[in-house]
Amino acid sequence: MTTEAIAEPRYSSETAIKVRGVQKRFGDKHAVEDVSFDIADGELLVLVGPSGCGKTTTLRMLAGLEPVSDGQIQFGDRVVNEIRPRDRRIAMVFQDYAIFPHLTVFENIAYGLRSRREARKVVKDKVTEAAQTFRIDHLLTRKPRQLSGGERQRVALSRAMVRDAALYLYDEPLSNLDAQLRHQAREDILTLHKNKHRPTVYVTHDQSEAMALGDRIAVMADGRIQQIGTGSDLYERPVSEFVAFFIGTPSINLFDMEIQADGDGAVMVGSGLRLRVHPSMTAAARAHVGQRVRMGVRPEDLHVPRMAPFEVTEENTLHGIVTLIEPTASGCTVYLSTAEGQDFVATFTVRLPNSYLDQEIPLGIDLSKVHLFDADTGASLLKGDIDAVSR
Amino acid sequence: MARIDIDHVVKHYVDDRIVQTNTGRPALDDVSLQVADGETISIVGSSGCGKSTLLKVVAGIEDPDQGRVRYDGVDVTGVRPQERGVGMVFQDYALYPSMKGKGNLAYYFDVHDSSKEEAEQRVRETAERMGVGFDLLLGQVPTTLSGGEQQRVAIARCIVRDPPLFLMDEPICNLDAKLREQTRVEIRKLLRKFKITTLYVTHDQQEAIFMGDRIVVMRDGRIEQVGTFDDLYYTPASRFVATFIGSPPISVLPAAVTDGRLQLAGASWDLPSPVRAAVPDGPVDLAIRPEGWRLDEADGLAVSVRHIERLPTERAAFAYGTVAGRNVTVILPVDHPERDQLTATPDLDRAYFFEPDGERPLHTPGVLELF
Amino acid sequence: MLFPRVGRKQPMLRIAWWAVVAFLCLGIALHLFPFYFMLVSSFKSGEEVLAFPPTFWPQDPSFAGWKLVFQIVQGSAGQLLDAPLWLFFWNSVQITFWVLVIGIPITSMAAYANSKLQRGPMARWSFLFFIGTLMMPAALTLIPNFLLTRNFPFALPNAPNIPGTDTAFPTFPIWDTHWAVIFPICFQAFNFLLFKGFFDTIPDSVIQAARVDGGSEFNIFRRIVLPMSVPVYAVTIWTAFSLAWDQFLWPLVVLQTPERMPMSVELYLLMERIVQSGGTSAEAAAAEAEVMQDMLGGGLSWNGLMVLAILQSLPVFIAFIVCREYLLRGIRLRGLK
Repeated sequence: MTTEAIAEPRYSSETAIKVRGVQKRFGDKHAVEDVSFDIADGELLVLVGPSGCGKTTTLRMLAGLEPVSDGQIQFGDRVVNEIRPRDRRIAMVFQDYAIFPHLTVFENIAYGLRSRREARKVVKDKVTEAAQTFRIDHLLTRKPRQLSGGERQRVALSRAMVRDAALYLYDEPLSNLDAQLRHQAREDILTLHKNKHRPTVYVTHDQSEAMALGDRIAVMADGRIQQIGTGSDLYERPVSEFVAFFIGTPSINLFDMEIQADGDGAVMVGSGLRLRVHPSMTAAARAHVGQRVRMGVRPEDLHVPRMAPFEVTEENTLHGIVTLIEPTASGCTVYLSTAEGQDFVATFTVRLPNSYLDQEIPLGIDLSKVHLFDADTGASLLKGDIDAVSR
Repeated sequence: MARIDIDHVVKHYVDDRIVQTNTGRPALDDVSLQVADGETISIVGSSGCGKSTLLKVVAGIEDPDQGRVRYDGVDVTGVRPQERGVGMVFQDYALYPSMKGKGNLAYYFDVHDSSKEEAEQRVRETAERMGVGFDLLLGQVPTTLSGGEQQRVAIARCIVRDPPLFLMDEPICNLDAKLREQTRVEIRKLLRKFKITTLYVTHDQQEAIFMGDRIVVMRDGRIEQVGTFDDLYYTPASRFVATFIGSPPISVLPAAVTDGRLQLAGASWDLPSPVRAAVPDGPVDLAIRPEGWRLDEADGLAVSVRHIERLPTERAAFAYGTVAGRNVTVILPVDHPERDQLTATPDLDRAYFFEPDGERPLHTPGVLELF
Repeated sequence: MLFPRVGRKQPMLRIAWWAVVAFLCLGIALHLFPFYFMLVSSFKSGEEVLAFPPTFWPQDPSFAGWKLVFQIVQGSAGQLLDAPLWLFFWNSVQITFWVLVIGIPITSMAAYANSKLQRGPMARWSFLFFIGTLMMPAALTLIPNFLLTRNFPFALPNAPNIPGTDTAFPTFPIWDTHWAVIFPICFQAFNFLLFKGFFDTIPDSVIQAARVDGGSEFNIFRRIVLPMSVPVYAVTIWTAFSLAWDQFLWPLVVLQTPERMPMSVELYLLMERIVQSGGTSAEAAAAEAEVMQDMLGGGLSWNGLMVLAILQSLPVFIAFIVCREYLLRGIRLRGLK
């Protein structure tokens, strides 16, 4: 046996990672149907979606833990479909941290290096440095069971830190942490990411985590990517009702409407409302006159009339009975329901007193910011300028 | 419907090991709490703070070592959980895996000598109250249900018998973020509708704020503070509560007061008069929430920014930076340009003051007058 | 899975994969061979069984062994059995039945109590106590157990006197009854371990939920825990069955009356008589020698013994098939995390 380190494979890193038409079938069930995306060097891509959408399966295929049923995964210009995990040069942080309980913190962090037969000195230096970065250098001789959840998570990050991987993968690393530790942990992950500046894939079901971390975000549902883009792309220009609903908390409010022509303009009628279509959308709306649509209004775009940044008239007002008021640091979130019994939510930057509970209040809709979706397919009607789902 | 009194409860856990490794600290250390009829109380704290133990003591699953628990003034300490009639929802739903949804609901009636017809009728009524599509869940074995569906069955299992008291132990923390958001609204509405006294345990402060009429903050087996969101947020009883409530967390900076001026990292400001009265000269810890900073003023502090987190969904960005070696978080407009340096001034009307390295607050801002 | 799922087309992994498959096949073959040989030998003639080198397939298949065993059972091949064979079979069935009916509930409830009802050091100590019985070699407990059956409940050669009197304590000798065979193996520490391991995986919250729902402890055990635990019951019932059915040394020690012997002992005695010619008295020896001549002429020696061995292991095999069905069914029923 030589004492030299076993060379890890080198990949050309022009476009670091390419995923092309990847599918995964379990029996006759499609867990992932046709997923394609690129990750540039130093980019952090977040895969986000509800449970069972195929995001974790996609991650596991990237890691090589799960064979690919169809399609190609390329690292640089090399197809890695048939390369086993240990030869792929990846580092992964697991949801339960996957720390070896019988090894000390030091040995846990050193494991990846030891299994590649790095020199003793190199191992020690790298482990110490990583431990210092994540503030666990005083814990190196402890066993994992003596650590708190946050400390275990930092051990897992250190373990990724000592590696020189071509791709870094995170599988919901924050979901087992208390809320107060998450902000710090997010920052630690970004520290690691900036330090390595390698392609990174991060899986989560929490859209706010995705928004906070991702350079780009891929929203997945039913084994497909619905939309890829930056946080503001997804928020301001969702391609479908699903994306609009998934991104943003509280979720977007949806109303069933019908578009009608009205002189030069257009109006939306339905759910007990008659709203004038904003001039910027009139052209798009008039192409769908007579059609049933779903109007999406974000809770932030509902305003108390007196404080609205626009003139509130009969044609942009929504009436609702207050059912719950949730105080927040910046104001409050109000849960209402219309006379027809449809529930909706509004967020205010002021505090609504509890005396408004069960009262009816008028709210102004910022019609320049509403979204319109096809009632059947859920596709966005207004934003013709959005690129089709980015590949 | 019941009023609950928890009276100086102490609970030690017996260590499972043969050799006693007594850690000494009780799981519950002299906890007292009064819950009014029909009120929802959330109990929040980090893991291991004793919040679940408190719930178990109220349910009767655990016996307290000292202290009393009363339902409507009746002492129930030592009464077996079987005879208390409370409803409890568990974190892992704890459905009976061998029974279908319906069997899960009907088990209570099975063991209480109720007639088949009565059980049938109550299950049917509850299914109606639980809303659309619930009937379908009744015919299925728990394994085939999703997390959200299991949780609905678990709640229905409690509602079916009109419990005087509802105990919920992190009922939605195993759900997806999006589903969690919807489910908590559903639960809150159900609780408002049935007006059942409820204790709701969670580790998520936002959930606690949302669910509870009042919120209990626990730490190391003790209650730190009981109050509404405004009480906890604007007048925290301790440094712990101040750092626990609020997301991103409050930033704490060591400062000093001399002659009514606050000295911090080379800059100084006049203290507003209510603060001056409460804070003596000498060292003090200044705590500022992310929204408690004013930007780009002449007498501001230089904040070196590590990174800026943009959240278009919240129409805000958070700058994580450092002042005088301490981490601070500053809220920015979402379109604020990317920068390595910020100039930020602490808004002393909205600042919190703590005794240096102590828990006790010297001054808290109180609820801001908006109107 | 232990073996990586990706990259199996790489040559090294392919070789490793086939090596693993080869080892597994070898293991299976080694396990199955004795059964195969038993089955095949029962169809060989007397000479062929003893032939060297052994044949792996009967050159001249004959049913001589089966025929003779059939004759012995019917009693037409001389008085080799002390009583009709069905009586011993019935004895075994009775013993096994009681071992299961008394033993499984006791073992499972003890394990449940230890896993879910006891707390703290108490739970640990009682667990260690039960498991400690596993460490005790059977040979060590043979004599005390024997004394116990003679002078139940005293493990002494003679019951002690009641203090202050000359009369001995009353004892309940169960020696030479089936109960002496049944009681000592009712509680099986290994099954206790299996049950306890399984009950530990049932979340406490399920039991607490049932308690809050008002179920009594026994009701919770019967209605909630039992249906979840079908697979572990299947396993333990099978192990208890095979242990009770196949036990040999202990009944040989405590049972005296020939009619009370279980199948396992009686078959052994029968084999002994078949193999050994000669007996305790000259007359009997002559009679038996004559019978032996007959039998060897008919081809019975080891082939007949193989038939008896098959008969003895058949019920265990059937029990396995039945339990296996429940094992799979239970796994489908559970699986709730």
